[in-house]
Amino acid sequence: MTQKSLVDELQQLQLAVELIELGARLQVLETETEISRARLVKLYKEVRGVSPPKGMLPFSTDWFMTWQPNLHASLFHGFYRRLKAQGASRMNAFVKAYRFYLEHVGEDEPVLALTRAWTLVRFFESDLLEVASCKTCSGHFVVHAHTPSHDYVCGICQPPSRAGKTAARRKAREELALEQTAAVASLG
Amino acid sequence: MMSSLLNDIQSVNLSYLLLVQRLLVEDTEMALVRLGLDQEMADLLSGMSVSQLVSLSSCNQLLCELALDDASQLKGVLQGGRDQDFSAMHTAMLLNARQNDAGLRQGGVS
Repeated sequence: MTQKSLVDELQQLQLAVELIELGARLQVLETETEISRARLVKLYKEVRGVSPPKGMLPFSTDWFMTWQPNLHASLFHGFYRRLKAQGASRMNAFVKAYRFYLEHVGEDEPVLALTRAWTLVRFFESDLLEVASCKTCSGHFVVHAHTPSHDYVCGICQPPSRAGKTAARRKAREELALEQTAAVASLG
Repeated sequence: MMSSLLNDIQSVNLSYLLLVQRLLVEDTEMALVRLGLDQEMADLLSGMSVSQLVSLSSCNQLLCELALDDASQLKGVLQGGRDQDFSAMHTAMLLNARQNDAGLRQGGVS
């Protein structure tokens, strides 16, 4: 093992801990730090109290094109590009952009998990994805690279017809309606 | 009536400038994103003394303006998303897009 500076090692450990706290899988840590796999596993257990999950990372760009993930991915990547443009280093921009994203959506069970956000950044770096401007609102949205985008309309300006109408949402709405009726009745 | 509105404007000005300074102390990079300011403005604003803040905020116009400056964009935010409320998310995206476009025009890195 080569002689590494202690400060450098400490910074890498700090980055690893921060990423683990935000929900990073082991593959993210292995790629972004020079810490050995054995130490990362140990670190992961110390921080989270459980062994790191096994298995491959999601590798498809298609997930980012589905309606709700696309909105969340586009929001996150907008923050990331701004931080990069201000001169933040890649991982610094990544962590801060993800914090911005979490702050925006509220922290419990975000649609875009940290590891997904990281694969998104990697897809951009390997030119599989790019951003297109919505011709209605001028917002920037994640699209497949090399797709014609001059007529692009985003998923907020023109949601697909069944967007967001999941069984869970319908149930939640019905429960809310029941509660409201009950509240009105108790007032009357 | 007029003087109370004027007071409100001036106190919003002062609160805004104080908030800018607090955000910049906490985390400069994140503050620049939240405020939509560049580093040069940030340096100037964070270096201002209390008396400078007070005299600047005594203006009878607002120092901060609505960051969504385009009526068609605001319309889009209000109408978008059909039956789900996306206005906060949409606004964040449009502000990001605006700043990223501005960065590109100045020849910044992508």
